[in-house]
Amino acid sequence: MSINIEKLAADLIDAAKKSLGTSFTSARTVAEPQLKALAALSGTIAQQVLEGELSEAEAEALLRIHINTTRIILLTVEGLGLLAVEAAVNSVIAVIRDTANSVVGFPMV
Amino acid sequence: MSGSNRSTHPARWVLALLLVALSASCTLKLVADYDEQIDLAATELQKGMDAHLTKLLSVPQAQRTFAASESFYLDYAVGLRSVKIRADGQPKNRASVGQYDAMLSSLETMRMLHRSQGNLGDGFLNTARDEFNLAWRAIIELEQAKKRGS
Repeated sequence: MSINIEKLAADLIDAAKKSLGTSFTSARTVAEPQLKALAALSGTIAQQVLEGELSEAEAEALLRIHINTTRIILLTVEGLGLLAVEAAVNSVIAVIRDTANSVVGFPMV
Repeated sequence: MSGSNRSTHPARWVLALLLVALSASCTLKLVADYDEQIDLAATELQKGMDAHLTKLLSVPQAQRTFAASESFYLDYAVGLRSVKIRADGQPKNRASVGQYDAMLSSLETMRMLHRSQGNLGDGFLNTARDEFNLAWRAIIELEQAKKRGS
């Protein structure tokens, strides 16, 4: 039985959306291709095991490496989400500064 | 008219000072600053792993001995730890530090497999190369995003 890569990719994206919330929404354009690539690699590993292309030890090792790759991708998604929040908040702060300067009539800040 | 101007000027100043205090103290920093050395190091480490795995794939399996790769594993781990230490020196860099920890773990997993099995098959090497490249892509994308500020 082979893995349905498209379904797996969709499930990974849904799971990331649910657990990361707004972080995922902000990082979507970067996150989705990476999660799709991750799904494809899951399928590759499964196929290799089925076809006997990997020893048992190699399959176990690849699975551990795959989990680490997943962790790395989710940390990128989280980081991108935080950067988006930082940029949004700081742009609001910039508006406040501009307002302050316009109230006093000169660039105080 | 002049009386009302005199009464609004202090209010304007109070408001302005409050706004300045708010904006001056509230610049938000959630993620570490971009570090060009980390960015360049990540690219070099990506190339290094890809090159090593590609070289292994280019020789017969019997020649892919652990002994021939042992110094690569040691040197690569040193490179990873070096960039991790640099990342750890930056405040708000938890995500990047976590990524380098995961990379060290993947490297060690591959090293232990190679040592116990003696050599590595084509199937493992091809997929491992894809895994490491995907992981490096994610790490480098985060670093590039810090440079853009988004």
